[in-house]
Amino acid sequence: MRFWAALYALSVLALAYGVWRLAEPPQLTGLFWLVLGGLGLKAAHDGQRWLGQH
Amino acid sequence: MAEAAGERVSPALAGAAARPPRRWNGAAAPGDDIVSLRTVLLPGVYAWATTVALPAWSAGNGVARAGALSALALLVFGAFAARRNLVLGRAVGVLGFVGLSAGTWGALGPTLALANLDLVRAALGAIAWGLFAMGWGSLRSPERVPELDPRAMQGEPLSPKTRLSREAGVIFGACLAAGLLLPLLAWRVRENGLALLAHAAALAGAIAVINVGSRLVLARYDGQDGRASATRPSPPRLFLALFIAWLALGAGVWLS
Repeated sequence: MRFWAALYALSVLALAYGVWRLAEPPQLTGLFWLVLGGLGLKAAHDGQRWLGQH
Repeated sequence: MAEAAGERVSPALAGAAARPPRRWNGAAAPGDDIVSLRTVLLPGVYAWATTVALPAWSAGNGVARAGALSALALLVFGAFAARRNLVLGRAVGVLGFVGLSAGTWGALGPTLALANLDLVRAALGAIAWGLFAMGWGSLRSPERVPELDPRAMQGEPLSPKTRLSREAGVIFGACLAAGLLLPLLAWRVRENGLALLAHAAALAGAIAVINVGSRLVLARYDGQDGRASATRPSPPRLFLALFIAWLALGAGVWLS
């Protein structure tokens, strides 16, 4: 549980930093962090669903 | 009624029976407490005034002004019509109003450039549009008590299996704050095309943050009714592996 919660928190920070960095060049850095945050959120979502089912 | 039948009456029902419900005759008036004029017209008129009427009158464009006035007329008509015919009211008050507002913006053309916008007024107008959208939701007036509906099945009140801790509320509040922060950060982006991407990504991210966060908060309460299985298969790994791979790729590019 704590692992998925930590992953969720890191993903939120990555998303926030990605949106923040989109305002400054190079925008690819912001896109990188956005994708990382999205992948982390999806992983946390799957982990939460697994927790609820088992 | 329930007491005469020998059934236990809940405190809410007993209290409600002491106060005669407003206009409850077994069948609710169509759209009576479904659409509130206050929650629809107040934010709707404010959003119209700041984001539609003000640019239309500033630009001096006759077509835009006609579109703005028509949009206002549809808003007011739709809000009142919804109290009699919900489908018609929403079609006119939502689709018609928003459509004509968008048409007004189209008629304004290049005068709606970012350099001409007052950011504070635009932000307040955006909030008003959001409140207008939520204002069309169903609302129950305080006098209406669901237990007094003739179609309600009387019985023992259901007790909750568990209660959420105060910590859960605090954590959910933090998730909600994080979700609201993302769209605000997107306002930093000034370039037109990039700003659209930033706002779209921030909005999608905010929805995902609140959705996943709320599920994680409630995950600890799952399985308390004994549905959890004895054997536990391994957790999902696909997106976790993709996350690690993407992170490793970024680290490799940064270090190179």
